[in-house]
Amino acid sequence: MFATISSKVSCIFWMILQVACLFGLSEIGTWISKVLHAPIPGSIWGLIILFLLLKFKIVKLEWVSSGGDWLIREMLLFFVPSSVGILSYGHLMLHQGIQIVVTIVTSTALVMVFTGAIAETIWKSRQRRKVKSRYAKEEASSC
Amino acid sequence: MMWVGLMMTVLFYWGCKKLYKKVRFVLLNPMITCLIAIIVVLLCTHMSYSTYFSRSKLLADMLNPATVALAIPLYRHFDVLKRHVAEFLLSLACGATVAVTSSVMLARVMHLNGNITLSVAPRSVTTPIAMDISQTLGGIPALTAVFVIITGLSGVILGPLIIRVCRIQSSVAKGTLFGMGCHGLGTARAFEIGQMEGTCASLSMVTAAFITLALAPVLVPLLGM
Repeated sequence: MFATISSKVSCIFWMILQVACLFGLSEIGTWISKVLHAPIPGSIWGLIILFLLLKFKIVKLEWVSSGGDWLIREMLLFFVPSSVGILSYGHLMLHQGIQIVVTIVTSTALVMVFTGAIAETIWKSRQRRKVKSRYAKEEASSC
Repeated sequence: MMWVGLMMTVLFYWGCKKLYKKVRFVLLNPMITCLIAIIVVLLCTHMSYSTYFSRSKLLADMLNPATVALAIPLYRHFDVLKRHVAEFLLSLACGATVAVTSSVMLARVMHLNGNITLSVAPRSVTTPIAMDISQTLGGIPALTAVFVIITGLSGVILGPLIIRVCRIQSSVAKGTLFGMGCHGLGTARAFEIGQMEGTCASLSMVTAAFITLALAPVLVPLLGM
């Protein structure tokens, strides 16, 4: 009983520590984007840095994975406070809200259909080619 | 008192997520129900948005480390992504063009004024970059942030429908559709479908942001704005 509780506590402790490290990386990223005056926001710099650190085996996956996976799983929660900002545009939304929503919803649907259809078409043609080359190999070996 | 905004947000989010898990109805997406619940509470208690935001800022700040954490699935599935580089680049380049063009055209058809039209143009990418592009174009960054959220919400609802209607089967296509169509919210939704879909979505979100960053300042003047 005591062992399970203590292992849970240490698990949470590590997770918080990992989240703090990721936070540090995003702060470093923000600093980089300030210094370089690049139009790329800090969090994207942080993402690139973490990816390179993982790729070159400077940071092990286990060092960041439990905290990182938790952050990704609960990402929707972090969007909530800024979404409530719709409230400050109540006036605009009351007058032109319907036009704005129709514009955005239609455009989003178009984007999703185009992007999905193109990716799916390329994927399918690749799949077909794979099957064909497998057949060709089998025929060659049976001859 | 300081913690009320934060606690309220976390509690509502937790409750709405539980509800969604039970009912599984698209319109009861936790993001939407939670948003409505908080707005109702703020209106009832006469708390202003700025007070609420300053009290729950810690949560909004977590969006940065969450974006950094997207490097983890990217690293885990990098070989798969390398194999599908054609799918990504082609579909995202088209997606970004459609996003900017259709937003501007539709805004014009709907008789929205110039500033609003310029703020709608970059709505399809993640908030910080969208606000930046909006600034470059001469739009209103704060308004763009709102449009980005509306895009996210509509994409989260439309995405699963489009996947079903267009009979999309590959994880890559499902991922790119969410990542391009509705940025971070879509990425979170794609992770609900699967690890591979989520990873493709996060890669698409980042790539789409870069493409739009380069594309929008050239394309928008061509559209006569």
